[in-house]
Amino acid sequence: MSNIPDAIAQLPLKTFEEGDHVIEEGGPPGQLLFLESGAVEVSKAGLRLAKVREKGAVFGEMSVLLNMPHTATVSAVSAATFRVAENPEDFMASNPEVAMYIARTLAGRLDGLNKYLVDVKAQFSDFDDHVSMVDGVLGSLMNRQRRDIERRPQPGP
Amino acid sequence: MKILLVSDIHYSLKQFDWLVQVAPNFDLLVIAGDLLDVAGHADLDTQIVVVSQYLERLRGATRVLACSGNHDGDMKNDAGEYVADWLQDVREENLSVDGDTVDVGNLRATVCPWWDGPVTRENLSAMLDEARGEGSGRWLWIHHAPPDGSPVSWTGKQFAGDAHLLELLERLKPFCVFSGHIHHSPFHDGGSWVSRIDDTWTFNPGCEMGAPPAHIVIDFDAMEATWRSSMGEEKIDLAAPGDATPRPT
Ligand SMILES: [Zn+2]
Repeated sequence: MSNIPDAIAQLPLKTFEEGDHVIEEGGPPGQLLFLESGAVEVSKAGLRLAKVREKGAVFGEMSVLLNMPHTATVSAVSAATFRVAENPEDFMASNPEVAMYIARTLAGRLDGLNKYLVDVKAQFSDFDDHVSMVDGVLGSLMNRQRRDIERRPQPGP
Repeated sequence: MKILLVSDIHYSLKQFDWLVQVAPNFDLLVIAGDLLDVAGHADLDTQIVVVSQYLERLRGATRVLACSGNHDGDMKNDAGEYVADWLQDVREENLSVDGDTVDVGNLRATVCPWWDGPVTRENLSAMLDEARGEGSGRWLWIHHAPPDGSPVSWTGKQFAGDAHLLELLERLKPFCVFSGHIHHSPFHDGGSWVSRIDDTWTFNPGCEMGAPPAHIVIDFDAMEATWRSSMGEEKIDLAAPGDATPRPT
């Protein structure tokens, strides 16, 4: 990842040994971590999703921004060091370039996801099922303000 | 031992789906490069995620050998040459990639990287010299570009294969080379999906859109190979003396 804001290099370093869990799936939001060196594996329900070794890779941001439990486990596959923000919201508020950096990371991820699905739809354009709707649905999802609709508990079935 | 050879899948999801479906019917699946599509809609980063997961599935079904092609580089080495670093990451039991030499039945298979410049090319030469071994088994190379001057590198107008590979092949005399890269060689007059250089068999299944991909089924015990594509099916008797030619079935 390019253009890592200087403020990140000012954060304290934390070292994890091989096999250590950096973030635990289902755990509460808390720290924001930026990979400094080494490599980690991201997994969900025991299934390996990704290997990450790019300096500046950010972890815990979804959980911090949406105030929800961590959606995946991050574990060190070699000794790994991180820059750690213990109070992510304060850190982002006082360092807007960091907030910008994270926003850019998320926008890039969204863009990649969008292109992936548009391509799936194109490659399966002869399918008459939901796959044929993917780009339409995606176009709507990508271009609107997300509403947070409460999930009302239902008394009956 | 039944071998399935494909090449130039270029991120065709339907072709990967087809491979997942048929892989259990084969003892060995060889993907001879260009798994990704640099001109594709999805980011290369995304394509790598998807293809890595396909490879993971495929190795659960059969033994897989996959080499890089010119579309597969995701990083540059110190000399500024593109290499498929991501393939190194998916190496696992039952899944061999660039740089590996493995014994499979009575075959010794060497998986060659795409060479983007002199450093990777010299590494490849050194790697093949080292992999040569005792030479009791039949030696198979997986190398994306086909050897130059052979019908499996014919574009319809010229030979567009790899002259360096041709040198290596003449010096080290492998039993066969599995390639791809020149998408239409098998479909042109003067081109072919199979040929022979001295005693080395060379194959290039070609590339077509949609599933199933053009593919070759090779059985070295029965010494026969069958090519299937939208053009139908052709067979060759690899034990036939002299200048064997494929015939429609
Ligand atoms: Zn190709």
